[in-house]
Amino acid sequence: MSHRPRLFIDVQHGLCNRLRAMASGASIAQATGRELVVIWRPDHHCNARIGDLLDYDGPVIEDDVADLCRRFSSRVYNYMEIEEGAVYEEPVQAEAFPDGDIYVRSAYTLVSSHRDEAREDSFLRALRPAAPVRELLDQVPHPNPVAAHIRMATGPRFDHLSYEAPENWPAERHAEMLHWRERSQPEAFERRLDQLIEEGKADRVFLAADLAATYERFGARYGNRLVHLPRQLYDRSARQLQYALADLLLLIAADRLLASTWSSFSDMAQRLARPGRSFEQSGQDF
Amino acid sequence: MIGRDNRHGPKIFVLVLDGDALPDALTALGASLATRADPADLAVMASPLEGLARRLLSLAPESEPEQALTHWQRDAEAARVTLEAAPDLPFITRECLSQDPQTALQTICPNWTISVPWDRSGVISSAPLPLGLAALLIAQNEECQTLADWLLARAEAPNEQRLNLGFGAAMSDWRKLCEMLQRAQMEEALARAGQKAAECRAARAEATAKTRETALARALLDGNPPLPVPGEQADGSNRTPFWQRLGQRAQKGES
Repeated sequence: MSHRPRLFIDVQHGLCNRLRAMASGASIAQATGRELVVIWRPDHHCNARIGDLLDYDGPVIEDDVADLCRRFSSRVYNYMEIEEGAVYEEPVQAEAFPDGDIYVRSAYTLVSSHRDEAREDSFLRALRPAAPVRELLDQVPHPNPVAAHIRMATGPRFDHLSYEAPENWPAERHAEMLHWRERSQPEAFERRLDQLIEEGKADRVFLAADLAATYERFGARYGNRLVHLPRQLYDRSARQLQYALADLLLLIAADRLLASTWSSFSDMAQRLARPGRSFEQSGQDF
Repeated sequence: MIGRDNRHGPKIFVLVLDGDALPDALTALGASLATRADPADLAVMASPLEGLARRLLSLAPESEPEQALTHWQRDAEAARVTLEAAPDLPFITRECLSQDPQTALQTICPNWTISVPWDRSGVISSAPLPLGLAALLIAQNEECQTLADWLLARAEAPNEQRLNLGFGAAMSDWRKLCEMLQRAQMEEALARAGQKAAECRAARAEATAKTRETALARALLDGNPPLPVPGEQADGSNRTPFWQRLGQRAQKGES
């Protein structure tokens, strides 16, 4: 083999699932001297190309060549539990194949002795949003003293959406997700926001939500105190995902985050904020 | 003595010299070629292929005698797959091969300067042939095998990328052929991805040198006056990127 051995990271599911898997792959690749190749294929979970969202300057495969990369790799790790042969959280042992390519398919942070969270964070912080995302940031004031991320659109009412359908996860994992989504309802966030407003800590509130009704409800309740990125889309289209990435950046920049538990989006928003940023999670802290 | 211009020559060289194996060969090639970005980088050299494939394509199956239909349909479908996948494939006819291999090579690689002292015993130039990634040979008669051996022996392709299917290729040989083509396809795609990434990095370096800071950093920092960072100039001329600055704030224990 004339090239450096590669680590293919085949990122799966939604935006932040993909970002965290990508960062994990980058960390392992860096530690083991491998070339990182990102497999980013738009699908019903994330119907955006990586270039729609990021000015990413590493090698990316976006088409069926990915199948060849997988086929010719020395070792394939698949964390996607619903797929045949997958082994969730199987340790990625890059050292076992020093000269061969490794292919990892995941929506999750990887498990490996070569993984390093600080390196992952550095990788994520080095990512640059694409121009359309940066332009969205100009539409709302920031940073804000409080930001809320309300992720609740999972459950029977939303099963008809392919990316929310129960078939995407093993039954127990889906049940766990439903459990936490039910604790991320608007009422809980309103109670906590009302407290913060009364304490003079929420002159302005930035809201990122997955339903139009949530924006309407909070707009009616908080008036000019509420800021958000107005949109017409609530799907997984490229344009909507640009809004989502802008939302993420604005959540990161806020002084306090009210987060939805069991949301990779909320997790990422806290992970990339400066250490010590106030962080409260639905169903646990409020 | 062989000169060459690799910029225009085929990267993969396929020599098909077998009538019986043709359907399988065409099917294998067609499947492999279907997603190739640049079919012109592959040359097919065949004795019956060119005439057979093009003739089959011009015939409607129902116009043939019933007893020949199955065989012809199979061949026709194989030929259709290949030719539709790569309509610009250079084809070399048996006549071309038997008359003058130098002409054959020149036809495949018009930009190469080729001078091959040919004799049928195979004792010829020791110069390597510019067969980039693979030389795949399927020969059925002795004459073709001589040429096949000669070409294969002089191909520049690494040993692991040479495949001599020889007489009566088995299905495993075809699978190996497919695998070689697919692996080459993957490597080409990865090379393109690497090239694109390098171009992005160069463009970014140029833009960063001009602006000293990303648009994202400016957008966020417009509403978030930066905290003092050690070593930063008052005019912001050496201002660090947004994310890096966040990290520096963290190191100072600020929140």
